[in-house]
Amino acid sequence: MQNHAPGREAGSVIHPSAEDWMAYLYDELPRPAQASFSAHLRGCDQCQGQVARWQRATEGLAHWKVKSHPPDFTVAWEQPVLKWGLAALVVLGLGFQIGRVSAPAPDLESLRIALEQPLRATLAAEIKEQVHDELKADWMAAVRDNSHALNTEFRRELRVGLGQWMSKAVAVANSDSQRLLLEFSEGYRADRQQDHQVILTLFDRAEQRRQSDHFNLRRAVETVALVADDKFQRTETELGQLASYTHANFVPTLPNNTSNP
Amino acid sequence: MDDLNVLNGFSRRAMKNSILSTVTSLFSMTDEQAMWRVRTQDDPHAFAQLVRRWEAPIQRLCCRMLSDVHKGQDLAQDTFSRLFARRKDYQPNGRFSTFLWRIALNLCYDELRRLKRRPESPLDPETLEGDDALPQFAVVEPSPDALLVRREQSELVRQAVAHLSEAYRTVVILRHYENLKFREIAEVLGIPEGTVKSRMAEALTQLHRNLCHNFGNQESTLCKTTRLEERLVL
Repeated sequence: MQNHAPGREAGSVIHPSAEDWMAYLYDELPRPAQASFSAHLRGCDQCQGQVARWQRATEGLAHWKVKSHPPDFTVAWEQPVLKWGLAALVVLGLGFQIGRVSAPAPDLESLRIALEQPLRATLAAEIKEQVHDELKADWMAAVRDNSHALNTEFRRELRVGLGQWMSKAVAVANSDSQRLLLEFSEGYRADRQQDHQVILTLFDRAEQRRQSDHFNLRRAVETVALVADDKFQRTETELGQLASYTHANFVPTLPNNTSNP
Repeated sequence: MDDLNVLNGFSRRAMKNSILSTVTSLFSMTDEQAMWRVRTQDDPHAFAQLVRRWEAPIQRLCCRMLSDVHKGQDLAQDTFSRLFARRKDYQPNGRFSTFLWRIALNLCYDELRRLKRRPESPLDPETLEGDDALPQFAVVEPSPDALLVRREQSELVRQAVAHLSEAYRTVVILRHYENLKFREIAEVLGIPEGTVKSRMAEALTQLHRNLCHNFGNQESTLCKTTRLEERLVL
């Protein structure tokens, strides 16, 4: 049921639509729906009034009757033709009976033999054609009647088949994806380990180099210190000697106070 | 000898069966089978069968759509002429009744448009009343007063239906008088089922209003209870 009644504002009550009421009026609703609509009518004055108006209109329509008349010309000629036809039948029937009674008994056997072959030939072709036509018409009618059912059935089977194929494809895709992911993670892990090893090796080499450089530097500094020390000592010695030479050669000349020791 | 007897029996049975099957097939064919024969073999017997079956409903439809019995009869004959002329257009996967209703309705619409462009002399009410059946079919003769009241009511309803628009009139006639389901009407007219139902609702509303308000002093018993109820409601 829809949320509005014909021409009325929507309220808290749900009223059937005008289309629903038409189906109700003309008995096109399923039984449970028919019962629920009747129950709604009993309790809703607004819908009751509207439906009553429609019902009166349908009752009014019944007052206009139109009988179909066959076309005049068929009436004009059909009756005499029927009468003459009947009369002809009666005359023929009488004549046939009189002939049967008065005529000598025919040679049935020779008649049968004479008629058999041509009848068989004619009937066989005719029967074949009629059966073919009937089968064709039946087939077309059956196809028309069943086309909808066949269509529905075909669509349903197509949907089922497609669903199955898709679920299989998804399952296969999932397993492939998992396998690839596993391979990738393992490869990544191996690469990381390898990189780690390389880095450690480089660190070790760098450390060794640093230590060796430190050692060499230390030796060089010690060597320089020793050489410098040695040079300082020599310089000190030379300075001492120089100082002593200088003192020996220097005799200060005093102004007449010089005394030789 | 035995073989000949058997053959003899077979020929007699075959002849009987052939005639019987021909006769029974003519009478038990569905409309679609008959129309198929007409389409493929121009079978006159099959066409005659269709005419016999559908003449009355098509005449009633045309008479009501045009509100004129004679014009309706003429148009019904035109319908079957056109049906035969357009037999090659019939699709075997469609219902025959839908095909035929459409042809009849299209002819009715064309005729109504023609009448609108060139209005003809007013309709003779006496030609429209269904109660003037052929004398040999009358069973019970109503009293003159009752007959007059009945004719008056029938005329009111006829005018009320004639005042509806073509779209509403078609739906009313097909559903109420020819008893087609809403789904079938939707198929014939090529519109949704909901649209058919809403047109029907609107048509009944207009009919009720026309019957009660638009015919002045010719207040019929159809509306007296309506007026009372409306007073109570208001």
